[in-house]
Amino acid sequence: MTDQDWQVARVEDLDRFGPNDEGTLWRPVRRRFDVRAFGVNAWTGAQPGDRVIEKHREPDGPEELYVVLSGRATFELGEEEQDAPAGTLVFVRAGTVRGAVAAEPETTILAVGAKAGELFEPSLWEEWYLADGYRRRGDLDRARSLMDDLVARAPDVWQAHYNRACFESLAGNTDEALDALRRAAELNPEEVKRFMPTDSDLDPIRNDSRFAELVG
Amino acid sequence: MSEEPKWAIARIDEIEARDTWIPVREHLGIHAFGINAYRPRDNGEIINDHTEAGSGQEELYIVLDGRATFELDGEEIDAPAGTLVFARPESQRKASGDATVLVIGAAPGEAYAAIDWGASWPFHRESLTAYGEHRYADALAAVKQGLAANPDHAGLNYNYACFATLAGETGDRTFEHLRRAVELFPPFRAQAREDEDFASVRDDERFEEALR
Repeated sequence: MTDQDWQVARVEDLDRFGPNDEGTLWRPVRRRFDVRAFGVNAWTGAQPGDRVIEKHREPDGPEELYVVLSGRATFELGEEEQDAPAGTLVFVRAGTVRGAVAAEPETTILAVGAKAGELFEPSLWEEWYLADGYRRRGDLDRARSLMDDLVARAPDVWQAHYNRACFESLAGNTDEALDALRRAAELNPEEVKRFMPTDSDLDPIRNDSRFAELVG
Repeated sequence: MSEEPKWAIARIDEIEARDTWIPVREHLGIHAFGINAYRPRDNGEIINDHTEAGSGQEELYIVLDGRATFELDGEEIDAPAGTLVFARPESQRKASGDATVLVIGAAPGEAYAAIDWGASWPFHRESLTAYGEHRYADALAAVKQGLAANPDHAGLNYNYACFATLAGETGDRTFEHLRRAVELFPPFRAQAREDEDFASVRDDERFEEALR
């Protein structure tokens, strides 16, 4: 944070969180500059085949503009695929499936999003992405602390409890993990039951009898 | 019922430019934030010297290719391709060089709204050329032509008021156009208060009336 009215950064110098299991690197931009009027982040696939933009639909979400800053991406848009070299702009309305995979090394895409006709509020997914980023860097305590804060601020958001469960599980805190998982399942049983069976973060607590009860 | 397409794709160098302005937002049909791109003018200027105090917009600039030099609150910053510049509304900013600069903007605490120029662009363009050369009567004439074709275009109504004021035409009709502009596009209310074009009528009670 700075009280200067302007800030400068090079894309190459932006933080890199990850890669996640699909090869995606998150490069925070909104957080970096404290942008308050729209969401904006950059994503990088270091190698061809790495996913740059996760496949998702934004069911009641923002409209999003993607700008290929470097490299070359293959966009998935609905049922179609589109080649997108650097300098390509892709605009997608909410509710449409979209994703992007790197076709060349160091493919970086800027993603800008906001909801038309509404006041902008930062998306909460940034919170658990940040926490997971710290976890992948080996700072599990920071990940747990971030999720504790989020659960306090946003107690009705199932992902906050679910991610807290994951980090507590990895930390060996079985009771806390199961408690958090239970609260997540109460908020969104469908999504929680979808993730639980294959989420390796939950392996440490998978054999607890209480875990089986939650899946049931 | 017409439905907007679910997605749109464009190469930046394939979007029909309006002189050195590439109207990205209008081309792609974006409603949630502003986005445009700019190429250098003959004098090397890419982003003119300005603040966004009138609009209250935060802006994120991205140098897409080439190399630019930004001046931010008096400080000179080298900005090769891959440089991001974030500016709060109060910041004085300009950029020059040989680069394509993308700009994303919106005002925090407001739902974003924008003006599409569409068919009014040629009239607007002509008026801007005249305005730049201080030929305010000619600028007004171009706007009047545009309004004949599109009387409810918010931007044309606003510019009528600006150019008429600068040309010394401060009859009631001028303020009627300002009132209509604000009615059609409320963000013009705050913009008019900061707009130097209205300096000579700022104390006229009809000015404040028009902005109510």
